[in-house]
Formats: sequence, C-alpha cells, structure tokens
Amino acid sequence: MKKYLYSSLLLVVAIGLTSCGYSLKELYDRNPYNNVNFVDNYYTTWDKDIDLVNNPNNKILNPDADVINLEKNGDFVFTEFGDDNLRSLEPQYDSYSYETDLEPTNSTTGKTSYGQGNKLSKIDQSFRYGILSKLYDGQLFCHGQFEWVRVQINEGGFGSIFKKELYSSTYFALNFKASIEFRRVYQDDDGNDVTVDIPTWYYGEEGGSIAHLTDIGLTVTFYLKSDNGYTRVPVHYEIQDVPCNPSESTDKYILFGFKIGGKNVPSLDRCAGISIEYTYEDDLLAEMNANIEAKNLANATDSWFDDSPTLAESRILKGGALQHSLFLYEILFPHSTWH
Amino acid sequence: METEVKKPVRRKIDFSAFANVAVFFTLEVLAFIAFSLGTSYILFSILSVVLLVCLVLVTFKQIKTDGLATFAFFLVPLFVFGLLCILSNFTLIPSFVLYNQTFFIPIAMTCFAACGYFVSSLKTFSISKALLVIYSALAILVFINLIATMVEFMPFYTLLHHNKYIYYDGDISSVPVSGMAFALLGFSISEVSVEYFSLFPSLLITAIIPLFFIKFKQNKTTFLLYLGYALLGFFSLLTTVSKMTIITDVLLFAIVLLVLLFAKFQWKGKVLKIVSLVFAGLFVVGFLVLFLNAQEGGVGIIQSLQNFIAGNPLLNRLFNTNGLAIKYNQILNRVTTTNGNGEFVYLFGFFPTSEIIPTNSWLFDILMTTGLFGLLFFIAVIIFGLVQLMKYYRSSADHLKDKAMVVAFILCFFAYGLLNYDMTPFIFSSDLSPIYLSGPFLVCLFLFSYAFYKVVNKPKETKLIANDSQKSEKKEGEIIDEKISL
Repeated sequence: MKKYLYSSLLLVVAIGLTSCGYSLKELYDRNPYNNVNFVDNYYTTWDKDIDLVNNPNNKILNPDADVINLEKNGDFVFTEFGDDNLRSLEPQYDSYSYETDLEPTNSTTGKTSYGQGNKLSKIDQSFRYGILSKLYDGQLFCHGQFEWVRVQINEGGFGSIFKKELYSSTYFALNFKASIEFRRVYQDDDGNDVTVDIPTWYYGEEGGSIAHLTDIGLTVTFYLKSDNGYTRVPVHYEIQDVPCNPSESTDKYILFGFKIGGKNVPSLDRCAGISIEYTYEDDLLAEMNANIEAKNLANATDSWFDDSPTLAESRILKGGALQHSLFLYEILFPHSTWH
Repeated sequence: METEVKKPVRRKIDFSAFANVAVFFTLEVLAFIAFSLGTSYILFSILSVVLLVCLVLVTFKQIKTDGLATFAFFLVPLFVFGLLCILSNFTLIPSFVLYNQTFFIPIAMTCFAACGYFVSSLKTFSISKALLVIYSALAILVFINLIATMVEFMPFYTLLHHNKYIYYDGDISSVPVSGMAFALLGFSISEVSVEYFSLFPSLLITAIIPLFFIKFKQNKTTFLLYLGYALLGFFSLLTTVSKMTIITDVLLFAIVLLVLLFAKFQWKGKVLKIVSLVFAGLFVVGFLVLFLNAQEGGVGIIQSLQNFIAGNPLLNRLFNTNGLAIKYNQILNRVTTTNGNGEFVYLFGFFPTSEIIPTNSWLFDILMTTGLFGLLFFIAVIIFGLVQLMKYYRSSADHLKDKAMVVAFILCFFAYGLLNYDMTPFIFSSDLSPIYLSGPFLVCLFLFSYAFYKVVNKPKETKLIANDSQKSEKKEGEIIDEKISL
C-alpha cells in the first residue's frame, strides 16, 4: 500500500512542479492603461533580460553597440503608406487595402487589408498573448477606440522579449502617430474630477488648435538571441515634420519601416526581442510649457471662463509640464517566419 | 461413364465469427468518444456509422426484431431531435461549431446509440470493461487538461487571481483568469471556461462508486485504477475550484450518495418508484412555475402566480432575482414571444444575443438552440432513457457495481449539464457547442441503449449473458461483491 501512496504523492508533486504559471506573468485589472492622463498611460515595461538601465544582471552581450543610422535609399526606409520604398519592398503592394484594418478585406474593392493580412498574430499564434498583442493584431488606426487599441510610450520607451525567434523576414514596419497632451484630469480639493481641455486652456476665447508638426528621432533596437544572451542591433532614423495632434485621418499616421537585408541591416535572424525609444523636437510644446505659469495666471482672472461650468474647469492647468508621446498601433514583420 | 457435375458451393461469410473484433472496435470507439477530442464530432459520426455497420453484420442473426421495435421508441425521437437541430435557425450561424455540417448531428447520435444496443447482444461484450474503458479515457483527458492548466496557471489560481485579466489578440479577456482553464480540443490545447473544464473531472469523480463494491485485496489493479481516477478528478477540481463548480459537485455528490444508498439497501421496488416520482414531480412543477413566471404581461392565474412569487422573499429569490433564474426567464419568455401578426417566431430556436445569452443549462440552451419542439423531443428521449434505466437498475442481472456506475454516470452528466454546462466553452472564440455535441453525451446515449437492450431482452438471454460475463470476469480474478460496504 505504501508503494501506491508514494506513487500518488509523486504524481501530486509532479503536477505541482508543472505549475509554471506562464499565463500569470501578465495580469491586469479590468481597465489597464485606460486613462486620459498621459502619465498614467505610458507602457514603460522592460523585460529584465534586456533592461540595460535598471537591471545590472541583464543578458545583453554588447551594451555599447553602435547605433546604426538608417539611410533612406540604402535601407529602403519608408515613412508613409504611399512611399516608393514600401512599394519596392512589398511584392503585393497593389493588392492591399491600406485603409482597411478591422476586416480581412475591403468590402468595396475586395482587396486584402494590409494590417490584417500581415499582422504578426496571424503569422504566429504566440503574438496573440500579452498587452503588446495590441501591436500585433492588425489594427493600424485608432477608430475612436483611443487608449484601448494603442500602446503609448514616452521617450524611455519599452523593451519586450518575444516568445519565438525570427527565422526569416523581408522588412520591418511600425505604425504610429505623435501627440502632446490634449486633455488632463485631476482632482480638486473636494475630490471631484476636473477636466482641462488643453487647447481651451491655452488659447482661451481666441480659440485655436494644437495640431502641429514635430520631429521624431526614432530608435528601434532588435535583440538577436544567442546561447549566452542577446546582441543589440539599435537602428535610428530621424523623421521630420511628423503630424502631431492632427485631426483623425489615415494619412496622419507614420508607417515607418526599412529593408532587412539592406545596406546597414543585413540580417535580423534570431531576433527575439524589440525595444522602441524616441527623442523629439517640438516647438509648440516647448512654448506651451514655458507659458504654463503665465497662462494659469491670466486665465484665473479671465471672465470668459465663467461662461459655463465646462469652461470654468478648463481655467487652470495643474500637474506640471505638458507631455509628449508616441501612440504605437502596429509592429509588422511582413512575410516573416518564426521558430 | 457418367461424369458427376459438381455444383459450385457458395460459401457464406459468417460475420458473427467476428464478434470479438466488433467488441474490440466498439471499445476503441467508446474510448475515443469518451476522450472527447474537442470538435471532432464529424469523426465521431463517421466512426459511429462504420461501427454500426460492423455491429449490424455481426449481430444480424441473433438480434430480436421485437426488441428493436421497442428500442425504436428511443431512437426515433432522438433522430427527430437531431433533424430539428439541423432545421434550427441557430445552426445557420458561422459561430456554431458544426456550421454547414449539421447533418452529422442526427447521424452521430442515432448511430452511436444504436451501437450501444447492438453490441449489448454480443456475449463477449462486458459492461464492466466498457465502463473501465470510459473512465480510463476520461482520466487521460482530465490528466492532460490538468497538466496543461497547471503549466499555464498554478494550483488554486481561481482563488488567488480572482479579478485579474489577461490580454489576448489586442483586447482584454472577457472573463478573469479565475474563469479560465486549459483543455485538449482536437489536437491542440486551448483556453476554455472553468465550467467546461470541470465537467470531465466531475464525471471522473463518480469512479468512487466501484470502490464500494470491489475488494482491494481481491482485485488490486481495478481498485487502484478507479481510486486513482477518483483522486485525479478530485485533485483536478480542487486546484481549479470555483463557486459554481462547488454547487454543481455538491449536487453530483448527492446523486452518488443516493445511488450508493439504493445499492446498500437494495431499494429496487416501491422506494425507487417513489423517489423517482418525487424528483420527477418536483422537476416538472418547478419548470412549469418557472415557465409561467417568466411570461411577461401574464393575466389571470399567471399574473396571480407572478404576484405571489414576487411577494414572497424566498420564492422571489428562487424564481426571479438570482443570476441563473434571470437567464432562464429571458429564454422562456423569448420562446412565447409573437410578432405583429400574433405568430410565434422563435419556436424553432433563436440566436443568442447580448440580451439573451446561453444559460449554462442544457434544458434552456436546447430550448434556445432547437426551439420548443426540439426540447420536447429531447425530453422524450431523456424520459424514455431514464425509465428504461430505472427498469435496468431494478431487474437486470448485471453486477450491482456496473448498474450503479451506469446510473450514476448518466445522472451525474445530466445533473452537471443542468446547472453548469457551458455552451460557449472557448474563451477567445464565440463558437457555440451545445451539449449534444459533447463526447460524454454520446457516451450517455450508448449507456442508455445498453440499458434498453438489457431491459427489452431480459428473459433467458440476460441471465445467459450475465452468467457468461460473470464467468469470464472470474477467470480474470475479479471478485465483486453484490453487497456494498458503506
């Protein structure tokens, strides 16, 4: 009888040992990253294996790797859907619909959706899991779903390890748009929510739009896996005149990408991770931040804000400087294979 | 000299010689279906047809036609129910698991049920072995599902991560991780609801019944197998415990206890009848009250009943304000909804919507999926089956252990399905898979048919088969007491 008892105990222990909790590593509340305030919405998680800043025990083999500056022609860099470099890189360019991203095909033209046809979650099931699956689901545009469908980053960006390794690929693409804070919510002394509409706060009675252009220095780092750790391949590209806070339109998004196997990035084989960071130059934002105190002071005595309770709420901006952010919508490795 | 012209002798193939092969094939198919390979219903259908052809050929000479005529009372409503499943509006939606292939529904159900009847006529078929095969297949499935769930989650995750969600395909999951588990579906592991996951260990836990009949010292292997199965089922339920699973399993525990009590006290006559009638009566009255109470705009006696229920806190809680009753009422109300011309438009089933959602109960979900007529035929099948099952329990010469196991398996399956069978088992897909597409349902049909055969062919033949099976079992050293040790 003891033999059977030991066998049963062994089985229980074996089952206990299988308790890896793979799916419990990323758990969220019901509404994660769903806040009006930029500061609460930034996805800033870095996988510890590739976190150079906060984890001294990271597994990066070349922490001082030189940044590769991409060349428009040599690396076939593109920054919009209609770019000639994208046309030359994408063999099925003319058979795609670039505006359709929620359905597999465009019901009018019958063309395949570029996003849905090339999304990573379709190429490999492992991309369906985790919050970053927002970047692999084929939805290229906002469609009024705001925080629900984007991954919002600040300059520090994020770094993530894939479950699989890239085996073959043709080109890389990233779809995003830029924004400065356009609304802010804070609590007053009584604990009530106060919503400040930034254009109203800044332009007051005269009215105005905060739509403008900004320059983005984008750094995408790929992490190539080897037996000992990860080799960084950081690539950088300056994108001038990126629409910032524009009215919603598909041509206001930036589809950045480049050829894998071009002049400066000969291969990304065994790529098992990615991180995205950026820098920006934004004159309007700098101007607005420089004027916060003065604007608050001027608005405090401006009687126009007394016209309605909504306007009254927009009178004073609290919570520090206005922030700049990139809204990421999709990461693509079209025609790739993963192991 | 006369030459003798020999006439060519036509040799007839005696298929009955293949009885052992047919029984072996039956056990294989039974194991495959009990293993419940997810969405393999079409494969179940094909296997059932092939198996039925084999069994008809093998049993052609010995099967009694008058018995078959009685069996038709069970088989015909089952087939009609299958046809109504095909005709239902519900099966026209792409999210239905068998969309465009619904003609397999009546084929699988009737053929596999018929297999249960035909194979029972073979002397080499032993229900004891068939049950061991069923439970073994269930145990393998439960073990795979448990390991898969533990690899992805951890023991007691349903308690530890109660209000936590995961992201899937760009969206937050519709249910928290405490409502998820992993299960083998087809040839891949997928996320399923805890309700669906728990069905199989809940059935497996009924493997505790033979432990009261088999003596450990006399048949260690069988005893330990069933003990292991029951423990596996228990461990599986324990590590994925949820409120609804506890409620359902308390009901199953009561059924198992009842079956064991009946066996212990040899209640086969009046007590069995009285208990059956009481339960049936309570069920019918309860359903009738629920139905009348669910009708919006009721007048006269219906209105009086509704007011009475609404005025009584306990009845109001029971029939109106608990989560289950709300869902049941919506479906019952929809069935009697008429259009502008006063025509009933939902009698043949309707689509689930955001307002009318599946109820996790076969009784109401079948009303939704196949409509009122479908439900009536399904109920007819269940009633015919249960009546024969009670007769089988009372009069069959089978071992008490086997009879108790057959009864418990069927009752526990339908009891579980009445409260907790998830028709939308897939977490990240809206595919609908009603109870009649599940493996255990087909196994229940098989067991119903087996009971039918034993009842219909009771005189002489049953004794013969019983004696033979007893002999064959004794050869293997299995000693089973007809007395239960509680």
